[in-house]
Amino acid sequence: MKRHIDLMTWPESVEWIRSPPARRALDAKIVTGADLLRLKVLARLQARGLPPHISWSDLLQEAFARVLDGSRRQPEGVPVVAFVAGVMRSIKEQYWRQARRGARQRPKLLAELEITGVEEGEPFDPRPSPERRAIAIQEMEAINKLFEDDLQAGQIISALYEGLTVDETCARYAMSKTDYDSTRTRMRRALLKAGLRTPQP
Amino acid sequence: MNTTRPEIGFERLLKSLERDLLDASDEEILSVANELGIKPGMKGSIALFGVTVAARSKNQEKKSRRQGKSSSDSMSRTRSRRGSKRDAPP
Repeated sequence: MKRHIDLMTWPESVEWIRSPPARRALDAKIVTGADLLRLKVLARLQARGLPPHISWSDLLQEAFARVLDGSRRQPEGVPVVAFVAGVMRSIKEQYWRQARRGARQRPKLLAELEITGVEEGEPFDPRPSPERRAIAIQEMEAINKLFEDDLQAGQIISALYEGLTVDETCARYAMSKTDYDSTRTRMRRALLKAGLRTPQP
Repeated sequence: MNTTRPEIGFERLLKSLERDLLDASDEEILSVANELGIKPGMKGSIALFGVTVAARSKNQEKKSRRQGKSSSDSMSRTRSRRGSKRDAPP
């Protein structure tokens, strides 16, 4: 089931929620505005690995809900943005694990997922999942499209996908370390642009 | 021949890109926002739409109320159960 805002009757059909968990975290000074911008981009990136009925905003708000209710605790020395990003990754893995278990049941909301792996996070589920595979293929195409005009970025994307090291990537594509670093910087900027733009490309 | 399983390769890629984003400085993020004409500090800015201000379809809310208490309890944890990965305009 895809939930969406009906633009034909917008704004009457829409109720604005003024204090979602991320807002409360900002008010409580757990995060700054810049942290939230970064987390928005990270949530959009992470949500690419989830089915379309779960939005990046769902993922981000659920992560903050768990931080605020204390079910996820920030380990000492881990910056808050990295911590919340880890919680989002963990929620995503929980979603896939439970989607596998409950394949014949109705789809779960993120908030209904069991809370497991409180401290250590949720490891990647290595078992094949046709739905997850289909989403991965589709979103890989979207990411490749994002970098279609940048040959070296495309090469680095392939290398990261295959799990190559920096040295292996440079050797395979006859790329200098300087070129590699400057391409990663370009990629980061392109990702930030894509993540901050509305709607996301 | 590339034998990487798509979901594993994809998650590996996401993790690397996530690392890049974590390494970006605040200045870089704000400069990109500025380049896009987004002003995060401005009241009602689109920059944090879906983050500090979320939206919910009123019809959706009515439906979830009808589904009973357990469902609405779970909805109450996260109040931004919205559409696709793409944004709706604020």
